[in-house]
Amino acid sequence: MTSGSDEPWATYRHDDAGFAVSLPTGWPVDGEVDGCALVCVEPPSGTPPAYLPPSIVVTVDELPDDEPFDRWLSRFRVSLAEIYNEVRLVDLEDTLLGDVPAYRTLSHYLHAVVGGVCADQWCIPALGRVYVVTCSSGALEYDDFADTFQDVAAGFRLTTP
Amino acid sequence: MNDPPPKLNPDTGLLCLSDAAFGVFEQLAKRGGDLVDAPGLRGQMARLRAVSVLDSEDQIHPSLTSTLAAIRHAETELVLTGTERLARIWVAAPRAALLLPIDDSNLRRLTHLPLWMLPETISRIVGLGPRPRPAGPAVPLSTRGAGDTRSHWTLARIATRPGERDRDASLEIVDTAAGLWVVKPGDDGPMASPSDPTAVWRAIIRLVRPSDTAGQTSQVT
Repeated sequence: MTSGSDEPWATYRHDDAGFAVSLPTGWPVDGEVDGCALVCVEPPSGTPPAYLPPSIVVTVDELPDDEPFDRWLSRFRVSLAEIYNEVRLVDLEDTLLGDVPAYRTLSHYLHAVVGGVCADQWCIPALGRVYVVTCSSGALEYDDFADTFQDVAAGFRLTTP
Repeated sequence: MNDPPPKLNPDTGLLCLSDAAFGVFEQLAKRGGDLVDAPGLRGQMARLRAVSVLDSEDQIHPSLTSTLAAIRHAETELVLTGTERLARIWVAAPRAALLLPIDDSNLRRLTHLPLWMLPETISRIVGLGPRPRPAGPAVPLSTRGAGDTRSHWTLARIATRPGERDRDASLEIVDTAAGLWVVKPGDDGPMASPSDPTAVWRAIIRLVRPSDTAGQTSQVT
């Protein structure tokens, strides 16, 4: 796995999981978080932030042989209500990341400590897996980071293991 | 005209009151004790005292402190309208105050909330959620037809202090079975452009955020 460069965007490759993604330069990457292929959080800017630092998380879910992706996706969307507190679905979108189909969900939920959070998520079925790119920020900061999140998703690509 | 008495929940600060009583409350918030005498003022003051909104020295109930502060120190004031007025909103970070109608009642509900809850609250009021994504160019609003319209609403930011007129901005949305359309002025009348829930959500955030971070206009596509 490699990351980091002087470019505005740094490419992070996760060869075991078979993907690469472009991340904002200077956002530290942690590839050792349980259950996650990648966790990347905007670093503090010196003073304690008044809002939830934006973050990018990639998880990889093995798609069971007998489960069509549509059913997995329905299950995933139902699970949002279990994972997130007082979740509100803002947007659903079938889209393409390059030539790879992806299914985007924008939701708002209540975080016990920081309050409102927006989660922009892309589910990408490929190679018998579902890659989930989750980009989160404080609700009021979402507009600042939404384009960055979109760029992160657009930079996602599958790699040859 | 029926003018029901106000009701205060002293635990939550939720205040239900008529337009006339709110007019007095707003004066109290914005002018302190320097009230402009008007017909009915004394009667409304008495009603507010009777339910402990005001004490014997006309000090506001402690549960209403945040609401009062949001109105008094509002950096941004917004009005949400549909076929009728849906809400008035005052923003004084990190809090906001919200005045909402109560169905089948002459009362309105006045409450306070953290600012971060405001985009979600507004979205809930207008029913923002997943929609089809219409495509194509902007069309005159008058040619769109109203047959499939679910709602037509406007969130408008209004100046709260002299000299802030340039900060006025608004977001006008037609919500249809085919998706969301944003309405903007055109040379020959209002034009409706295809939009989507994410763009509308972002525009709501820009409108409610305090002036130090908010954009000068609400751009939504």
